[in-house]
Formats: sequence, C-alpha cells, structure tokens
Amino acid sequence: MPNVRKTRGGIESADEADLVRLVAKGDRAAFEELYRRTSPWLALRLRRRCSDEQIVADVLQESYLAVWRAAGSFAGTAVDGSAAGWLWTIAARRLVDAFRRRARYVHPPPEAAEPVAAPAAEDEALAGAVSGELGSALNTLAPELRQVLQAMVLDGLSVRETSVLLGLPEGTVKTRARRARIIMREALS
Amino acid sequence: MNDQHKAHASIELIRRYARADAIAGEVLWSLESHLESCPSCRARLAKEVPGQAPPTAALVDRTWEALAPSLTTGPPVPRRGRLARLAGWTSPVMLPWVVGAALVAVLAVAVDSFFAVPGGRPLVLLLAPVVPVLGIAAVWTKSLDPAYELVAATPRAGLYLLLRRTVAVLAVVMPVLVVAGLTIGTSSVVWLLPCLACTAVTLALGSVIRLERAAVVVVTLWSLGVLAPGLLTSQLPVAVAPVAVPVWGAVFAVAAAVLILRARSFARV
Repeated sequence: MPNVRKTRGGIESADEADLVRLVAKGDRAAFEELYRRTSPWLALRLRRRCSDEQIVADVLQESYLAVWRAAGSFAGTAVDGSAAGWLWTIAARRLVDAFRRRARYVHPPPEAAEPVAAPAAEDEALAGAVSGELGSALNTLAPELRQVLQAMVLDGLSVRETSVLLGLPEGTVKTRARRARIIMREALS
Repeated sequence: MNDQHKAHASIELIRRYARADAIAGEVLWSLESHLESCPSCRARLAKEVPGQAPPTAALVDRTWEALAPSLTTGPPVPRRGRLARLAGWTSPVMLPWVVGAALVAVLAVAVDSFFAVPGGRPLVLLLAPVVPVLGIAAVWTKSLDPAYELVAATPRAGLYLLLRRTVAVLAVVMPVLVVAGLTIGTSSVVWLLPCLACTAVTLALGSVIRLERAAVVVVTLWSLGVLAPGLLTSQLPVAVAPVAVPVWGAVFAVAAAVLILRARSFARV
C-alpha cells in the first residue's frame, strides 16, 4: 500500500525508508510524518518493556532526536533495510541506557511474569502466520525464559543489555538463554 | 475477521496491544515482529491509540512538543573552513613578517644578479641562513601578537604550536630561498644546513631568553661573524663554505636536543 515512491508533495505516499532519507536531508515535514506514523507503535512497544511512563517519554524523545540527527547514517548504510527495525534498534538501546542510568539510584525489581490469558483462536492464526512450530515452541517456554529470548532475539539486544533491561545478572541471562535455546531446538526438531 | 489476510493482526488484538492488556507470549512475539515489518498494521495501531490508550496518545503528543524546539537547530554542523584550518598553523600578525623575510631573499637575488661581483660571495648565500630567523622572531613575540596571552593559554600552546608556526614560516621562506639558490647556481646544502642550524639555535636560545631576543642575538652574531666579513673582504666566509657543513650539522643536533629538553618553557606566558 504505501510503497509508492515519494513524488513532489506526496510525503503521505512515501514509505518509511524514503521518509528517513528525506529526514537525512533536513526535511522537517518528512520527520513529522515519520513521527506521526511510527511514534504510537514505538511508544506502545516501549511501554510493554518499561512501566515507568516518564522513562518511556524520555526514551521516545531521545530516540527521535537521534533519528533527526543521525538519519544520514541510515540512508547511507541500509539500502533496503527496514526503517522501522532501525528505529526500534535505536529506541531499544536508549531504553537500556535509561535503565542503566536509573540503576544508579534504585535497582528495578525484575518484572514479574504477568498472568497470561489464553490466546483467542484468531490470535493463534497470527502466531501461526509467523511460524506455527515456532509459535507453539514459544508457548512451551517458561515466562522467564521467553522474556530473555524475547529481549535477545526479538529486540536484538546483547547479553549485557538484556541483563540491564530485565534487571538480572549477566550470568542468569546467559543460562536462561541457553536453556531457552535448548528447549526451542527440541520443540522444533 | 480478515480470514483471507491471515498474515495481518486482528483489530481486536491490535486494540488489546494498544491497551497494554496481557497477551499470550507467543502471540505477543508474533504480533511485535509483525508490527515491525508491516506498515499497514502499524497504521491501524496508530489509529487505535487515541481511542484505546489515551495516556499513550498524550505521551506521544507531549514528546512531540518537547522535541519540536530541538529540530529548529538543525542537523548540520558547520565544517571547518580552509581559513580556520590555516589558523592552526599561522597567526595573522605573522603575515607581514613572513612576507618581509621572503622579500629579503628576493632582494638578495636581485642584488646578486644586477651587481654580480666576479669571483664570488653571493649575497643570497650570506643572507639565506638568517632569513627564516626573521620570520620565527615574529611567530612568538608578545608585543607583535595582540592575542599572545590567549594563544599561550590554549591546550596546544608551547613547543608544539611554536614548531607548527616555525614550519609555516619555513614553508613560505624555503621555496623562495631554494629558487634564489638555483638562480645563482650554488649548492643548496651549503646554506640549507646553516639555515636549519640558525633556526634551531634561535628556538633553543628562545627557551632561555625570550624568542625575539634570541632572534636578535642570532642575527647580530651572524651579521658580525659572517655577513660583515663577507661583504667587506673579497673571499667567501668559511661559515658558508662546504667545509663548514658538518659543523652546522652538529650545531643543529645540539640545538634540537636543548630545545627538546627545555620544551616546557614555551608553555608559560
């Protein structure tokens, strides 16, 4: 749908990667459009990982400021990389930094595994759309293992960053990641 | 809904995601990885946020308000121009002195070519070794540089900056001297080593007494010891004869060693 290449005055029809390239040239309207399209998603995704609204607001602001200033590095390196994925990478790193800063004052308690509702049938369909086997394999994981795997695989963080984000020692993160991988491998084979 | 578009998230799931409701782990995983790659589902999510999650909508608006003022400052950082880079090597007050030193060499060539004395002692040869000293006297003289205290207080002040400025002087004066030497047909080594030695001695002496005084001392000594005898008598002074080359080499080495040992003295105002 929004894959039409950007023409004069057609910022609405440009895709995110085009918008980032325009931002790299200092196009403020393109930046506004990029923010309008991606910030609700980014804010929600951050809120799923951090309950402190103030930190989410700070991270969101820092991330978009980084986008405004460093858009050139995206336009230069990733020819057809996903702009949304690039955005998330920036935001995830900033979130970890924010946790690091806060850890100097209070160490956040590790997020308790939330009580999880059974997935509705139509949600199973989406899970199946990515990979049926992967979905059910993930389902067999204990919540604390899935949490670690999610931070490292889905969010693309390193062991150290994951330990900061989840408030766990690095050794624990490594052990859980190893256990999660073994369970996944068994479930997928 | 949307059975024909199994790959897209249902609107109910998107709403639950927006409301931050609990979502089963594997579904959440699929949804988040799907949202990252699907612009149309992100657009649907963005549309649901004001209705389903007013605090998040407010947060997004608030962040934009905070972000907007920073955008006017703009991303471009001014690049250092060629002129600014040149300022790391020279100061504007040096210019007349360096030009003056170069003119001395030019005049010496003119004198040599118009009033050539058969059998020798070209004026260029007698003047060349002290010409750069005139320029160097100007690069570190307090009374000549109105910004002297500022320069002396910069982190790069001291021997490093002095050497940079010396190099700048030599870069201007040396080519003139080389051309001058070639036009009168003398070997460059005969005056090049005395020239470097005089420069080094000036800098080394300048670490003890002030640099401008050191320059005066060196020029005076040279005038009395080499220039005057060379002009008054008819033979070439021994100082600029090929025999003296090793001596000048030794003088240069000693002066350079002294300069390195006393490097810190240039960092003071």
